[in-house]
Parts: sequence; C-alpha cells; structure tokens
Amino acid sequence: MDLGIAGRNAIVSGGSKGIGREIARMLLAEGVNVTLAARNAEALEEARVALDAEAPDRVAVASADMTDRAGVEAAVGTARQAFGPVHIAISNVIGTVIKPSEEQGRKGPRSGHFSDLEREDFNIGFRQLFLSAWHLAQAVLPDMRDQRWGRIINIGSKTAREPKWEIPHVLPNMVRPAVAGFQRTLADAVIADGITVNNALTGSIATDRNRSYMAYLADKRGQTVAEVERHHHMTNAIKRAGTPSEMASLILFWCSARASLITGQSVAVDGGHSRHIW
Amino acid sequence: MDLGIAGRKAWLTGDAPCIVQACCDALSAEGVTIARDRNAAATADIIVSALAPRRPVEIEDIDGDARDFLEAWDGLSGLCEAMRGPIAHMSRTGFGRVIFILPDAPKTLEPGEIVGRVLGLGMLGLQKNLGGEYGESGLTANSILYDAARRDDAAMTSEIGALCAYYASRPAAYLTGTVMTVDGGKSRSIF
Repeated sequence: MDLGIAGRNAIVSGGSKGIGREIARMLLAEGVNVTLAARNAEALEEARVALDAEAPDRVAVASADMTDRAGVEAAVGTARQAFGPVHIAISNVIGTVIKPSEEQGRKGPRSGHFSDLEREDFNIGFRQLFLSAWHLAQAVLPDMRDQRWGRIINIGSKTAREPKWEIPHVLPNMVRPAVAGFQRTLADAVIADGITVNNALTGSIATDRNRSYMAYLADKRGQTVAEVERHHHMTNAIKRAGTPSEMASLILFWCSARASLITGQSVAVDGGHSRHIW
Repeated sequence: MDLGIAGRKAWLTGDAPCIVQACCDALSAEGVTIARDRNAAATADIIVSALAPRRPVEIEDIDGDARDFLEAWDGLSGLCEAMRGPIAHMSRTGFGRVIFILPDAPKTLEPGEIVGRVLGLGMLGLQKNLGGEYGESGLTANSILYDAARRDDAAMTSEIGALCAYYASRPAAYLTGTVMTVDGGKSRSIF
C-alpha cells in the first residue's frame, strides 16, 4: 500500500533504540525524512550510521533531553533546519523504570509502589511522561497548522487502560491515563487543521527493554526468563511477543495519508492481551 | 441496610465543600467519626477526597511551561503524600476504604476541562493502583464522578454522600477499582 507520505518530515523521540528506531527505519523506507532525538549521543550516532546506509541524506539526529521543554524545542529546531517544517511527531519517552532507584538518572522517575514515593517523585513522573508529550506537541503544532497536515502519535502503554500493580508502577499507572486524556482533547482541537492525534498502547514487544523487564520478573519470582515469558504469552491471544515492526506498522499506518479520519484513539498492540471490551 | 461501619473513622479532604459536607452527613449518620484535620487522619479507616471542578482553561491558553498542569498535579502529589500514613494504617488493620469524588471531565469532552480531565484521569489511575496494591489487605478504592455543572445542587450532592457511604461500607468489600457516575444519565458514553 502506498502510504502517501514520501517527502514528509518526521521527528521521532527515543529513536535510537527499540520501537522508536523501528518506526524511524520504516518511515525512511516510505521516503520520509527523519530526525531521531534521544539523550544518549553514542546510541544516536550508531543508529544514524546504520539508518543512513539504508536511506542516505535523509536522517538527522538531535541529542536532547526530550522530557524537557528546552530540549524538545532544540530537537524540533534541528529537524526543521535539516529538512523543513515537521509533519509527523512521535513521542516515545520511556516511563517504566524498573531498575533500583540508585541506578537511575537524576531526572528519571523512581520506580515504586505507592508507599515508596514522595511528593516530588509524583511530580517528576508527571513531567517525564506527560510533559514530554505535551511539549513535543506544542513545538510541532505551528508547522503542522501552517501545512494544514500533521500526525502526532504517542507511544504509550497498556497501563493507560489497565494498570499493573505486580511491579512497582504507580507513576505510569497515574500518568499514562492522563496522557490519553490530553491526547483525546488535543485531537478535537486540531482536527480542523488536518492534524490527527493518536496513542499506541505498547503490549509485550520483543525489545531489549522488554527482555530486561522479563529478566526483572524472573528474578523477582525465582523463575527462569523462559518460564516468565511462557506465562506472560499464555495470557494473550496470539501466545507470543510482538515484534518491533509489528508495533511500528500501526504507527506507520496512522502516519499515512489513508488515516486522516482516525484520531483521538488509544489502541493496544498487545496480541489480544487486554481484557476490556473496548 | 446496615453498613457495618459505626465506630470507624473517616478523613475527609478536598476543595468541594458542599460535597464534603454531604459525605460527612451520610457517614456520620452511619456512626462514623469524622476527622478533618490531617494529623487526626493517620488512623483513619476511610479516606474521602472530593475535588471541585477546575477553573476552565482552553488548551490554547495553557502557557508554554504548562504551569496549569504542574500546579494541578502537584496538588495530587500532595494528596498522595498525605494518604501514606492512613493507608499504612488501613493495611495494618485489614480494613480500608479510599473514595475519590471528581467532576465528570474524564468522561466528557466539555470545553475548558482539559486540566480537570488530565488530573481526574491521574486520580482514576491512582485509585486502580491502590486497589491493586492493597486489595489483599482489605482495602478498596473506588471513584464517584459527578455532573460538574450541578456541583452545589443539594439533590445531587446528597446522593453523592449516600453513594460514598455505601462505598465505605462493609458489604461493599468486593467492589474495588470501580467508577460510578452520579449525573442523572447525562453522560453519553456506553461504559
């Protein structure tokens, strides 16, 4: 299917690894120019070299903190300078922190159960997961309104609809639904300008991150990783993990010219794991 | 119906005075002791937090640093911190009830409600999380959404109070993670 987006310009946050990188690769294959934005300059450069080999001169990178207004504005500035106005923005900031807090960066939210966290932790979680999506949308909307065309997509998590409490996850449990509410509201405000806003809820997708999550659960439960994975996949309809490109394919379709009427939606890519009817 | 909560202690908080009063009346009628003071809350068995509608703000009018959101969310963060003591008490004693009462913004797309919607969805996520984390300790967590346009209407607030007392009751022990809307059927959503 021709997605009709060759020549468009995209920015992908968290684009150096996992799902973000696969989205970037698939956008490039459709003829889109892509700016990858992430904090880790080394991983970013590695991704740039690999992707540039497949799509020469259509990849730019911005090493920036995408949870912070100034970082987001700088990255969007880089994208504009490289290719022109931004048409597609993918916010993909990781929220599920499952490492012990002392290993986490100063700015990242601490993982925790409710009773482990203090007032400021709840605020940090909000800034990280909510304001990252908010600031990216604010930074790209002027371009999209000028072009009268835009695609804003958040890579969220199933937590938006079905919180987890078997892991210390209170911050994503609170903030993911809030992001869905923001996006639903934004969708109404911008559809008249040809801009759609959607939210992909990540299920069990085989990325490095997902593997470290499985290893965490295995350690916690005294099981092998294979046992944890088997149990996890038994609970979805497809009985296996998804691939990054299966996840990214929905994002690509939402980015396409064929999806101009799909907006304000949250859809889980989880192999049928979710139990809600809607 | 005997609600089985005479002698229990409730901590009532929030910025919606008519609703707080209605809950206070309904709980008192069942023999519940009321704590309004945060210090007395440490040994509460029931927490009720009633949120008033936010000052309306349109999405375009939120400033670049998103202060409307940060300020609203910080209030929620403060509530989380204040609830830690009572929740620890509840999980020790094996009986606890958390009841959030919110405007219906999470369920509607009324203009000007974006901040209330974001905040309300955060609270609903918190409620689910609390129910999950402390369910085995006999704690339930539920929410009541109300028609924001009728926030001071006594006919509505007294029903909110009654539902609050039911949620707090002993027979409601298997009801957790739910959201009930008191709006006379205004909401158009199927669920």
